[in-house]
Parts: sequence; structure tokens; C-alpha cells
Amino acid sequence: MKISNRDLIQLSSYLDGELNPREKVKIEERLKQEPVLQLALDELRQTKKTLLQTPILKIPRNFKLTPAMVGIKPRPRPARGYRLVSAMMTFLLIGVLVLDFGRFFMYGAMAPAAPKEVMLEAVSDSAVEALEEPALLEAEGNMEADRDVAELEAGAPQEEAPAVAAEALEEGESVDFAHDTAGKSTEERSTDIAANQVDEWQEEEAVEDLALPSQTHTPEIAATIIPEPPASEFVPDEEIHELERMPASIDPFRVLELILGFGAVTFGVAAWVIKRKRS
Amino acid sequence: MMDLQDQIKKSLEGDLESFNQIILSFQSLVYNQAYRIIGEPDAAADATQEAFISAYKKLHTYRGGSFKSWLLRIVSNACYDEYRRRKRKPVVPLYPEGEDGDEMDSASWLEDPSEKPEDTVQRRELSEAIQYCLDRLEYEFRAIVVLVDIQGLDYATAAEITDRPLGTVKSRLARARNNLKDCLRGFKELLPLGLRHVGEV
Repeated sequence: MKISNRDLIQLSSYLDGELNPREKVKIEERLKQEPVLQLALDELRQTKKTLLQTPILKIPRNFKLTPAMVGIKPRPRPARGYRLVSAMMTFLLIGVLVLDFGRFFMYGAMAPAAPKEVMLEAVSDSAVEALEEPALLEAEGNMEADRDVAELEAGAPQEEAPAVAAEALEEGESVDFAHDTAGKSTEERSTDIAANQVDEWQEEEAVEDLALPSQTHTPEIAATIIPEPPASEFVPDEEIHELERMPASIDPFRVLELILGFGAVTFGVAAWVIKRKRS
Repeated sequence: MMDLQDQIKKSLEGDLESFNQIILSFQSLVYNQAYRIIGEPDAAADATQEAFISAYKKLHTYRGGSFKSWLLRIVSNACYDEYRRRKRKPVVPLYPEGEDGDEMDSASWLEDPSEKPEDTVQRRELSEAIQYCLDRLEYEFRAIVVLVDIQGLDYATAAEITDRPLGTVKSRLARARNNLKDCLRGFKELLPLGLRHVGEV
């Protein structure tokens, strides 16, 4: 015997305790009287029990949401930008270093420090001149004696000409000397200066016979000159330090290298710190 | 550890991590609900993900009460959308495929390492038998029987979730059970002795 739809609904609701008290009493009376209803109820109960035993499946993956899934724009990531800037500055630094070294090999070791060396050289020249100053001053002091000698030697005025020529030669060599020493190292220049010094003295000795007594180096002066160290050491320390402090002597390549190096390290460290904080 | 209401409050303030904590608590329930209604693992996973996205966006519509019921309602809607989409474009394997595209002989997603092999087999067969029978129900019937008999909800909650009158839920559930009873009878040898129908033991 087949049960009706209505009875089936009543039995199903009775099984779940969803009937009101009146309906519940009514169906319970029928269940006692109708075995078919009881059998149908038992089958529904067994089905419900089976369904309740349905295994719980393991989830295949996590379903956590990401900002992109819910349309949240991710915040800009400064760490990425910092890393990019750091990398760019590093590449630029490498480029600048390559250029710097290229310049070094192309123009020699003096090239980067040329302005300072030229200045030092100029100072060396003035030191050489200063070395000769005492003799000249002394010569000025003997002008009276010169005049007397000149009067005595009035008959031989042509002998003064070689003295003037010798002075001119001396000055000319001084200029040439300055020109020649450009582009040489300090030691080389020191050697050159010393060599030139000796040459000058030899020339002066050669001219001595033709010159006025005041224009002739006395043995005392020569004695003070010969044992002197190279010309570069005659430059007063104060002057050298002053030159080193001159802002005009800072190489722009060095400044650029410093800026790029500092920037690359700073941005790299900042990116690392941000990344570390996030993790 | 924050309770559910705190997590909801923080989620409403835009804290996605708090909502992800809610997801971790409910994802098994939601996935199982979706799988039993849709019957396909991939589709169930898609529906589950969509349900959580939708839940996050509609969280402001939650007015208190049972969060589980509110969430299952969203899942039911997501499942229905997924079901309709799959109906238009069918042919999806019932069981998950391996990396080589072949149907997996042993559903690892169903296995429990702590279980004995024979228990795993029995559990898998029971699950497959139930799913087979559920798949033969109409969608509306299936959704209600899953809510009441698998999720253990009462009629009123099931009516609220499915947005159907209580009488409709009662009648559909009764008919669904009756159909399932007939279907499961065909798998009596797969069912544990205690679960076999009266008169068949």
C-alpha cells in the first residue's frame, strides 16, 4: 500500500519534531494503527540517519581572500621603488667609475689632480725665485759699488750687455721651466727643479765674469743654495694646506661618485628595512 | 583570540585579515555545502570562493543573529548561480582529475591519513553513494535536504536561507527524503550495516 504525499510530509515533519502538538497526537495514533505508515517512518528515519553520516570532505585549498579579489587596490610598495632607485644609482655609479678610470688611463695619473698640481708648481716657481731674491736684494744693496765699477769700466760698456742678456736668459728659462714641468709628478718636478738649479748656477758662473760685482753670486750665497733640498720642499706648509683646502680643486667625478654611492646604499638599506618590517 | 563578533566588526572596518579568520572557521562548512549541492569539486570550490567574496562585500547587510545561516544563504545563492552556469556549459568530471588529466582512482581530497584503509574506502563509497543520489534530485529539493539532513538546520532556518515558505520546505524535504530512500536502496551493499534500511539487514 502506497502512502499519500500528505502522509509523507506529516511523517517527515514528525521525524524532525516540526509538527504542532495536535498534529503530533494525530499521527502517533495513526502510526499505532497503520503498519505501512510505521514502515515508511522507519525508512525515512534510516535515510535521515544515513544522510547525517555523510562524510565531511576535506577542503581542496584555502579560500582566504586577497585584496585583489575584493577589489581593494594594494597600497603602493615603497620598498620596490627604493630597490629600483638603488639599482639605478648603482648602475650609474658603475658607469661613472668606468668613465673616471677611463679618464685616468687616457690622460695619466695627473689628470684628476691637475689644477692643484699646477698651483703647487706655480708656488714652486715662486719659491725658486724667492731663493734668488736674497742675491738680488744683496745686489741692490751694492748699487753704489756697481756704479763705481761702472764708471771705472766706462771704457768697456759692451760688457754690460751680456749681463742683461744673462738675466733675460734666466727669466726665459724660468718660464720654460714652469711650462716643462706641467704634467709631471711632484717628484719628477722636484728632480727637474734641482737639475735646473744646477744648470742655472753653471750659467751664472759663466756669466759671472761679464756681470757687475753685485750681480755675481758670492760664495756664501752659493753655499746656502747648493745643499738646499728640492724646490718643492721650499713651499711653506701653510701655503700647501691652503691650496688643498681650495674648493675649486674638488673633482666633480668624486662628488658624483660619492652622491651615487651614498644614494645606492641608503635606498638599498631602506628597502631592506621595509621588507624586513613587513615580513 | 578575537571572537566572531569582533572579527565581523573589524572586517566591517575594512580589515581583510579579520575576515580571512572568519573564512578559516567556516570554509569547511561552506565548501561541503557547495559540494553536496553542486556535486562537482571544482564548481564547489568556485562557488565557495565566490560566496566568500560576496559575503565580504555584503557584510554590512548582516544584522546580527546566526552568522552561519546568513553565510549559508549567500552560499546557496552562489551555488545556484554556479549550478546555472554549469548547466549551460556541462561536461565536467564528477571526480577530480590528476595532473595527467585522468580521473583519480583514489580521491586524496577525501582521504584521512589517520584512518584505516578499509575505513577510508567505506567512507568514500558512502560519500559517493550519497552524492550520486543527491545529484538525481532537482536543485530545489537537493538544496533543502542538504541544509536540513546534512547541515542539521531546522525548517525555519532552511526556509530563510532558501527564501521559501515553511510549507514548501516541509513538502520538498519529505519528497526529497522519499526519493533518496529509493536511491540509497540500490547501494545497500555499500552502506554500513547500521545504515541499511529496515528489512534489508
